[in-house]
Amino acid sequence: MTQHHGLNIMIVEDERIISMMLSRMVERLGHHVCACVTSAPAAIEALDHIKPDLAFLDINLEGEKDGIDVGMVLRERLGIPFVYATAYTDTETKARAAATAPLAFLAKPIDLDSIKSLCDLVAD
Amino acid sequence: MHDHAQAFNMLFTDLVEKILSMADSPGRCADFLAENLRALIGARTVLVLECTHFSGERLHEIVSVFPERRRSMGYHEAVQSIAETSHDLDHTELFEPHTHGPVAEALGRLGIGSAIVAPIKHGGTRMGVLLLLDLLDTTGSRTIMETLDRLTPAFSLVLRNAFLYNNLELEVARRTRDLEERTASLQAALAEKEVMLKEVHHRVKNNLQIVTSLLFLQADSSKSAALRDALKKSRGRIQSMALVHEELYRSEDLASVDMSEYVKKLCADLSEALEITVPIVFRKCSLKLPITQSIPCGLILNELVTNALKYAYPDNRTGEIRVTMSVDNGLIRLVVEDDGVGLGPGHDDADSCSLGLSLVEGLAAQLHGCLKITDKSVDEPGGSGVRFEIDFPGEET
Repeated sequence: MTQHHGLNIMIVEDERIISMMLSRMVERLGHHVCACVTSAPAAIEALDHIKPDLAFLDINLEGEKDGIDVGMVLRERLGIPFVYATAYTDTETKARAAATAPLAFLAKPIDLDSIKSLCDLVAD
Repeated sequence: MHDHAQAFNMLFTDLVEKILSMADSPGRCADFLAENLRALIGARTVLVLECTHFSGERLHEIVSVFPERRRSMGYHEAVQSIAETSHDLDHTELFEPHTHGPVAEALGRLGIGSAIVAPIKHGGTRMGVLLLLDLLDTTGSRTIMETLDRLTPAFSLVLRNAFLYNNLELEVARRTRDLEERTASLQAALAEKEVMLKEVHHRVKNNLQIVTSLLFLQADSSKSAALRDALKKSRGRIQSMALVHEELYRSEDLASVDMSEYVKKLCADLSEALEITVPIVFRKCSLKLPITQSIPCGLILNELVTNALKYAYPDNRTGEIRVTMSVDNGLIRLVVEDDGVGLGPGHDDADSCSLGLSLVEGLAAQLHGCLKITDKSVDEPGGSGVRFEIDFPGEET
């Protein structure tokens, strides 16, 4: 893998321990977590100020809006690549998520290797 | 006079027979009665009223009127009042206008001649009243009344029968409706239970996810390689349980796990997590296990497959791991087998392996199963590798 500067990564996940683990994994790979939020509105607001290189989105979030709403903003307004990390998806949700053209679907449990390959993909 | 009475008797006997033959239709029966009585007795109007009770009040509804054009008479206040008064009568009676009493007054209000009022009853049960209004001739009325007293019980029974039958039909309809409502509410409760069960599996899986994350965080902050390794093993064990809950959540009955799907996913996860590319061969089987068996079974598979991946093929040895699950006559057989270096010398992690093996032994016992370990280099000429075989009785799912 080519040498690269660390990426700025956004994490949207309402389960704090899982987002902590994700942050650690990302940091351990030499990247920087520029935002770590727990809801879709918070994520969309944060995107007014920051421009991450990659975002990890949980689909099922607290509140009315879900991770797919964030994915839509990232895709249509900002053109920032993103990954959905989710434990369960019914076909309908999966289809709705796929329509926003994510970089990948990351099945939980999240493992370090998949995070590494995705970050490398974006960094290149 | 005697002959006249006898002729009447015969006619009425004939009427009773006809009435009973029409017992299935009280309306038709009453029509027949009204029309024939009018012809026989010579009254301008014949009314058959059925007494019903509504909110504690007596109502008299028209069952039949002859001729039909005088139907409105049946609703007349005076007729209703005669019907009401008839409840005080034990026998058929003749009433004349211009005399005293409520019936005579009612006849006056109607502006008609004499009338015969026949209570329709059998035993003590009152079903209604028969009114022969505005008689053309009152001679022989005594015979008529005596005969009517013998005729009305038969008709009363017809009305009673129809009343009971209608009530029965209403009761059947009510119970059918009740049953339908209860079925619907049971179905709703069942659907609700399914949603709740799904939610529970989801929560359990999520919580196990958090546990594995906690173990990751703990390992990440540790400087000891041995501790990190131990925590990683624990993560693997918990993930094999989380996978059971994921499969339960996906299952149709929310109660049993498709072991084919489970083994496929578990093996893929383990190969990926350990970064070992030894092929794992698993033949599809149609076996579903309840949660009580799928959890220990999953943990056993996790130990055995992990062990084989890590230790069976050191130094780039080639080979494969075979996982088989089969069911024969209620007995489930789980086999994990390799052609690797065997149990003897060659694995340096004896301590942690022995925990793995104790777990397998304990879990096999929990399944009421029998564990058989075969070192093929010892037991089979020219053989190599290890075979773990557990037979345990299947539970009814």
